[in-house]
Amino acid sequence: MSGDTALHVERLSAGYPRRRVIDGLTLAPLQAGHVTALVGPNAAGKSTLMLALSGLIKASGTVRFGGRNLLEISPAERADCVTFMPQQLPQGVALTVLESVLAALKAMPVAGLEMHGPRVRAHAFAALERLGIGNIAMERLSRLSGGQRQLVSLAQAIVRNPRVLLLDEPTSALDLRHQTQVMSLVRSLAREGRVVVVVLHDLNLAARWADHIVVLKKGASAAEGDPETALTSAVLADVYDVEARVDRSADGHLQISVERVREL
Amino acid sequence: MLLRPESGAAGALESYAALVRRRIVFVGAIAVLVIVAFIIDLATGPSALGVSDVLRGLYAPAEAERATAVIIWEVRLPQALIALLVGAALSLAGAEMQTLLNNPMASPFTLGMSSAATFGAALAIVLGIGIPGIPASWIVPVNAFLFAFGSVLLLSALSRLRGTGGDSIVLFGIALFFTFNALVALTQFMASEQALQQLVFWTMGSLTRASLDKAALVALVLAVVVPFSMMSAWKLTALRLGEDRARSIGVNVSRLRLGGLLRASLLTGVAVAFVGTIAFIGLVGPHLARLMIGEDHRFFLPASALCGALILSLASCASKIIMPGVVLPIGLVTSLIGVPFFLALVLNRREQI
Repeated sequence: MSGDTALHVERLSAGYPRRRVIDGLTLAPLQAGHVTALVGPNAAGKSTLMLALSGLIKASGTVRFGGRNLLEISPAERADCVTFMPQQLPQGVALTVLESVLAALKAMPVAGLEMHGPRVRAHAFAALERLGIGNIAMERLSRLSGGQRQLVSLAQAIVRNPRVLLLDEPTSALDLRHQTQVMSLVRSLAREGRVVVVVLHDLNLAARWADHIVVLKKGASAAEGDPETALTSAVLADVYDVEARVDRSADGHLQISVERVREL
Repeated sequence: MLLRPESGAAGALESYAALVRRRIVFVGAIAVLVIVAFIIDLATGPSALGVSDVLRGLYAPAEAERATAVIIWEVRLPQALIALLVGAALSLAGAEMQTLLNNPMASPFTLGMSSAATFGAALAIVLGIGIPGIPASWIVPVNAFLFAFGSVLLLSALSRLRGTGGDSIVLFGIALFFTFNALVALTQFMASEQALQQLVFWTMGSLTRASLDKAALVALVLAVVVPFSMMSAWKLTALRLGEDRARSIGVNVSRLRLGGLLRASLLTGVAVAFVGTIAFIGLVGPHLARLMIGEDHRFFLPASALCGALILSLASCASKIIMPGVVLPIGLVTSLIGVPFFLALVLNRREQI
């Protein structure tokens, strides 16, 4: 592969009218092929950063990918390489699972993909099968459980085959089995050469599945690097105000257990 | 939950294809019902002309008696056509508005478009205020249209001040509804006896001013608007998956919303201009279509238009049948029948969830 395939975030500022959440954030390059987990306490700016990266809120600075600043290209051009998965599907939508995935695919053309005929339907169905939910393709969205809805939401994101995949808490409604299934899929999506950024609240899940972790605190990066570098007792004390123990389990993964909340 | 045996790609895609076929058949079936309702509408009225008389009069106007031909060509046909077309226009406007504003209560009536149009008409009827150079007989409809259009521009401008969320647009719409209703009441207060009568007729909604050239104009507006609506069908369906998701796959939601609201105001303006205020069609038509056919907008939009046409055609029949010899204002009929029908619909839905 030629050229630079990483996502570079430089001097990024973003927020809402009268409230800037992120101010001049620069991160180490987010490498293609790696899963980057975005962690941090509530209101640290995780969702704001995701919205800014996906172009859904106004941001200044540089988000460089493939030689272009994603903040300066049109929404349609950006959508060609970046897809964002919001946390939830809206309620009360009278569509079937397959229809919803087809809509995510056909609303805007995807570069290099035929948009008509049976091929496009097969492509949409393949996204469902990849998540193991091909069997609910004809089910109505309103009849699904919370976990199924989240998987469908993920299918709507991956069906466009983006080179940058931004996932906002894709495992929040899932049980243990499906958490593992989804994170393992997220990793294989990254290994195919994508930049994958995942917001996670569960630090153990982040430590287990992410190659690279960015810990946010008040809109700034408090630590970044591989799990061992980013998730230390000192960082957790600083960012979450807790006393936590970081151990290594028998199979070599980090395990974080919170002992007590620190007095403020 | 996910452990059911896989039916395989071929099976799933085949059942999807069957679903699409079923929806096409469904839309076709509603279209047939619309034609049946249209014919019944043609065949009912205070003068005793049955289906065969009317069809013969339409087919061979030269052979019919002069009085019969006049009734058929100048009363029944324009009224039945206007009912059909206005029903389709209001319901299509409602369907697009409900999706664009992500609110099942959105419709031309509930967001003040109809009220704005009525106020425009009231200004023309009571105070004679209108655009200079417009022929006298067209001042009222032109005013109605301009005010419906203006209310949408106001709505989008107001919502732009505060971000473009669907919720704030609905709140502004409700504010407009009350404002324009108050203004209409004010003009009623100031109106002369004769103007008041004309105005009341307007606010109740009536087909009696129908004519073939008016019907042709509504048909023309529909013919212009429908292709644009259908071109946006996939984008509108994607918008149902959430505004953030639609935007993140590259849909320009503000432009989609502005375009759709302009189309809705065009449809509403021309509808209200010719028949006055008709509530509930814009609300009930899309709901009925959604229940039957879902929200794939390739089918949902035409089904909504057809449901609206069907409901208003049936309402037109009812307005002539309820009190023999008297044609009730159609707006009254849709409201009186529409309210209990709508409640039943909502309660039924609640049970399903």
